Amino acid sequence: MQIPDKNGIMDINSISTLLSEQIKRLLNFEKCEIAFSGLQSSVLNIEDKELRTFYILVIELLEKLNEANEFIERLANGELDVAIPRNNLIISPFKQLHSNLSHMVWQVQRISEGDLNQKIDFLGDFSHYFNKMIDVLKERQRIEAELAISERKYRLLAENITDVIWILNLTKKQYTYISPSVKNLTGFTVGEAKNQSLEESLSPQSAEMVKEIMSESVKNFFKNSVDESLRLNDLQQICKNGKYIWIEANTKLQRNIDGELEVLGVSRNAEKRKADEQKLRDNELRLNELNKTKDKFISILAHDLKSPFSALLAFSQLLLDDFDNYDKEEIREMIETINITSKNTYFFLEELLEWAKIQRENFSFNPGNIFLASTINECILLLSNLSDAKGIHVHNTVPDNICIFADGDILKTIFRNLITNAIKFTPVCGHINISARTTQSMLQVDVCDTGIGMDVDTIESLFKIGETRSTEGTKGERGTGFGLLLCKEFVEKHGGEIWVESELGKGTVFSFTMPLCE
Amino acid sequence: MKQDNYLFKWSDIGDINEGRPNLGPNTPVAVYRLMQYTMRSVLNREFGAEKSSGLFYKSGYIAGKEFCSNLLDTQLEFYDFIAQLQKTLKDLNIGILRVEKSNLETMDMTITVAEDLDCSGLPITNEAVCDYDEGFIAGILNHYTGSKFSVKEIDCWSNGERICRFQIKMV
Repeated sequence: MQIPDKNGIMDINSISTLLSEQIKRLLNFEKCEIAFSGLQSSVLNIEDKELRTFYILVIELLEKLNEANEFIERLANGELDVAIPRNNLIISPFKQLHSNLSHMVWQVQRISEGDLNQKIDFLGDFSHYFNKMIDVLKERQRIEAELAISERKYRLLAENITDVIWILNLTKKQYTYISPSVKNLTGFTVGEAKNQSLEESLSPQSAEMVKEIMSESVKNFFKNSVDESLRLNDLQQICKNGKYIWIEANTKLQRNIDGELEVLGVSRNAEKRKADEQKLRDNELRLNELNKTKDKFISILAHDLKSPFSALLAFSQLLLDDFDNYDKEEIREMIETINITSKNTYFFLEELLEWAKIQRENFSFNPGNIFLASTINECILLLSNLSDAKGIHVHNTVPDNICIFADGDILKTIFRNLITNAIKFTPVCGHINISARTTQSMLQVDVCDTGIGMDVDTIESLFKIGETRSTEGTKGERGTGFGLLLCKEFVEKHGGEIWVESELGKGTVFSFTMPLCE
Repeated sequence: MKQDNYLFKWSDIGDINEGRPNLGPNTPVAVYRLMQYTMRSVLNREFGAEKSSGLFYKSGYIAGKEFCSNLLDTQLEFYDFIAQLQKTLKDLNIGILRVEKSNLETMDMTITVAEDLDCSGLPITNEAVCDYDEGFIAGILNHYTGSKFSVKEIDCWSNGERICRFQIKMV
C-alpha cells in the first residue's frame, strides 16, 4: 500500500506500484481494488499528458476487467439474473451467451408448461438435440392426445352400455377391470365387484363350470397360441341382495403388458332369455295338453253326432223299407222321433257353432245396464212349457231394481241354459229358485233346484271341454252337453265366475257372478 | 401518400410483384439502412435528436399495427402469437426475436432481437438507435391486446452489445 502525501496525492511511482499490484491480482484471478482514495486525483495530477492518458486508460481497463470478472464468474455459476455491465465490450460474447441462456431458460419454462413451439437455433449440437427432443415430445403429445380421445371414447362406451366388460387376471386370480355397468347388473359397485374372486362372483355350479371350460381353453391357448372367442351360457351370478341372476358371457384369452394371462369378458343379463325359454317350455306343455283335450273333444263330438244319426237312419230306413206295412199312428210316431232327433241335433250344432265363435272371439259382445229380474222373467216364460209339463215351480226372487252390466242376449242364453238344466234334472212337482245377492262390486246369482243332484266325478267334469257329455233328464230329456261350456265362456267374458254346488239326491245350485251396473 | 395524419394503410406499400416482376420484393439491408440513416440525419438536423427519435418511434408504432393487422393471426393464444411473431420476423429477415422473461399477469416482458435489421453491425456510438423497433413492437402488442405498451431498448448493438434488448411493460 502506497502512502499518499499530506494532500492525499500519490507520486507516479506509487501510482505505478499500486496499479501493478492490482494487475497481478487480476492475473491471479483475484478481485482487484482500484477505488483508492486519491488515486483518481493523483492520476489527473500527472503533468505529462500522454502519461496521464495512459494511466487513465489503465484504470478504466482495470475497472472493465474487474467488472467482466465478476459478471463472468456469476454467469458461470448460472446466475442469469446478474446485472449486465453496460458499455463493456470485453465481455460482449459472454453477454450474448447470457442472452441466449436467458432465452433458453424461458423456452424450457414454456416447455414445462406444455408449449412445444420452441426451437433453438444457437448453441451448435445442443440446438440439434434440443430440437430433436422437442420433435419427440410433440409426437408423444400427439399420440397421447389421440390416446386420450380413444380412451375417452371407449370409457364412454364402457360406462354407458348395459353389458358388463371385465378382465380377469388368471395369474393373480382377480378382476383387474370391471365396467361401471356391473352396478346395474348385480348391485355391486365396481370396487366391491373387483374384490370378489371368481368363486365368490358366481354360483358354485357356475364357477365350477367356468373353471373347467377355462382350463381347457387355456390349454388350447398355450398349445396353438390362438384364442377363439368362447361363449358361456347359463351362468348364475350373485347379486348384492343375495339372489342369483342368469347371465351369459363372451370371453377371450389374452396377455397383458406384463405377459400375464387374462380373460377379457363381456357379460349380459340373460334373465329375460331364460324366462322366455321357460315360457316357451310352459307353452309347449300347455299346447300339448290342449291338443290332447281337443282330440278327446272331437272324439266325443263325433260320438254325440253319430248317435242321433243312427236313430235318424234307422227310422227313415224302416219307413222306406216297410212304409206300407205301418199304420198311420206308427208312421207318425217314427216321424215324430225323426223330428225330435233332428231338432236336438240342430240345436246341438247351433250351440257348437256358438261356442266355436267364442273360441275364435268372433261374436258380438255389447254390454250395457240391464235389469236382471225382467230378463229372468222372460226366460222363465219362454221355458214355461217345459216346467209346466213337469209341474215344476220356478221362482224369481231377484228384486226388480237390481241392475247389472252385461250383454242382454248373452245373459238370456246363460239363464236359458241354467233353467233348462234345472228343469231337466228336477223331478215332477219340484222347485227352482233364482235369487241374487251383492258381493262387493259384483252380483252373485244362484239358480237352485230340488233335483237329483250330482256326484263328485260329475261335478268335476262340468265346464271341461274334453269331458262334455249329455245326460238324460228325469223325464228322458236330452241335452247337448254344451250348455254349461257356453255358460262358462259367457260369464268369464263378463269378468265373472261360475261354479256349482251339488249333492246326490239333494239338489244343485249353479252360481255365477256379474258386474253391477256402472 | 397521405401527409402527417397517420392514415398509412398496408395497401400503400403497393403491388410489389406487379411493379417489380424482374427484381422481386427483396433488397439488401444496406439499402434499407441508407434510407433510414440519411432520413435520421436530416431529421436530427432539422428537429434535434430527441424529436427525431420520437418521430421514428411513432412511425414504428404505425408500422407495427399494420404489420400485425395484415401479417399476423391475432386470434392465437399469447404464446402461440409470440411463436408466430418470431417466425414471421425471421422469415422476413427482420431479426431473431427471443424472449428472456415473460409474465402474463403483469404483461411485463424482456425480449432480445439478434441480427437486427436496423442496428446489427452499426459503428459503436454508445447511443441506442432502435427507436423505430421500440415503436414497432409497441404497435404490434397494442393491436394484438388492445392495451398500450411501453417498450424501451436497454441494450443495443450501437452500445457495444451483440443483441438488442427491449423491456416491455403494459401501461
